[in-house]
Amino acid sequence: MTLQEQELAAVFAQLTGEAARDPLDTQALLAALVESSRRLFGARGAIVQYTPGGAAAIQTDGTDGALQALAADAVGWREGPGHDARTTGCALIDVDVATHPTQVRWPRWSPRVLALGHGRVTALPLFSKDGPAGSLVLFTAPGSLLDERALKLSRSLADIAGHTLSLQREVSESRVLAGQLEHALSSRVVVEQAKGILAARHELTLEAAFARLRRYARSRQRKVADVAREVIEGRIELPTD
Amino acid sequence: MTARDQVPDGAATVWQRAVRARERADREEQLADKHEAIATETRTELHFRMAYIHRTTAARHRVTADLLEAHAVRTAEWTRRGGPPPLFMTGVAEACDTASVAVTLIDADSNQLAAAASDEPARHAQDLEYALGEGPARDAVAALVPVAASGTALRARWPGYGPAIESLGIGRVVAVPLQVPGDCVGALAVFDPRSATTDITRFVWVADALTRSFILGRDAGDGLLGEIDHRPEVHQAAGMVSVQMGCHVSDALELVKARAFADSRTVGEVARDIVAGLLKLG
Repeated sequence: MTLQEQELAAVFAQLTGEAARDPLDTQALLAALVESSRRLFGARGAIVQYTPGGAAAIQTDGTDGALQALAADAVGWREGPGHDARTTGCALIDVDVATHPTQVRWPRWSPRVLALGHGRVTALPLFSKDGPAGSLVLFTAPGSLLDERALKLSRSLADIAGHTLSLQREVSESRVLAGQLEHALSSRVVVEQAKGILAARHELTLEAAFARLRRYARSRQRKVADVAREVIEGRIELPTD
Repeated sequence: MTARDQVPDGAATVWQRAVRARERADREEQLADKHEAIATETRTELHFRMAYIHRTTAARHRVTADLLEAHAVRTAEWTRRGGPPPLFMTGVAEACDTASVAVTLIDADSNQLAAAASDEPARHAQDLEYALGEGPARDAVAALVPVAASGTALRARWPGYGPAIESLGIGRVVAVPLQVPGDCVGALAVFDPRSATTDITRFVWVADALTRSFILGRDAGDGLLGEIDHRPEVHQAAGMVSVQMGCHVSDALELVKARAFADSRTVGEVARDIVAGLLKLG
């Protein structure tokens, strides 16, 4: 393995380590991604934007304060190679920021980048299972030559990062769903138990017991299952009708 | 649960979901191929690992597609012929090379919340584990790894449950936890798989597909979850017994279970008698 490949392997270990962390921290994963890709590509700096999809906010990061600010502004402007790569899923390889077409295409983004002393830019899309979900943007000095091998490794890194991010999203989604399922199932259990308690205590049918439980909950704008739990714990006595 | 809730999704809907699962499997397979090609070319361990991850994800989607297709075929058959609606769990059993499987769902404290079974022996075995508080599903959930036992090992491992399922004619049981990273929602128990050599890996894949596509999946539909028995009568009975005996409902539940085991009846049967006023404990 070359040094770069070792770096890639280390990055993978770090990314998957972040993905398995509890609680899940997407921002930490993005921070690891920009720093590793900057080193791997031999870039002066890197920024990332990522959204888990739907109405979720776009998260960003950068390797230094100025780039962090640029990353956030680019999302607001809806311009720059990062925005384009994220929305189209197409990579932009080794673009010269100083050319006229680039300045026309990204009127706010380009001058800021040139002012920071960067000259060329490469943007790689990050794919989730449902399509493009983010982008990784790498900055190099004006006139620098593209390292094809480093580009290939960086593409691998972007693939892996996209996969890791969607894995992380899957994990947090399935945790939420597992919690919801448990809540739904145990709510049914306590409601049936409370019905049995009320039926035996007040010599009611189970239907009448449930009606009483529901009436009590509704009149106090509470959930039936929460009232049922209190009945079971003996914390409330339901009034007789 | 009303009869309407038990009517399964239409065959066409299930079939469409199978097609989508198959497409997802193909996509994962392509990604695996891509990483494998890079791995072979560059000899990087990393790409072998990525290929492996995509390959196993593809396998899970394929099992999901198989389960959906089998259920779609049964549903179409049922639409033509009528009779009782097909059970999703029948297909799960088939995928595990047996007739008898049970799914148990648990809470964070490992209490059983609900269960589904493919046939009467599986339902009975599941009920025994519920009544006795010992058995393979409980152990698989506690250890978070598959648990298998057969023959004399059954009674050695579970002094109450072992002999009881032997008397049902069950000679081998394998239980696999239903888990996602950081969470275990229950276990899949497989009874007497036809071939003694059936690879436990197969059951792990089925359990994985069940957990991610049919229990926690966003498009879980009403397949497996529609067949879940919440044991309402058992909890109603526990509530009643707690009043009659002046004890906490969790202790009352244990009394109902103990009575069922002592009388060689299912927990549900005993509970129904209590609810109907035909049986009083104490």
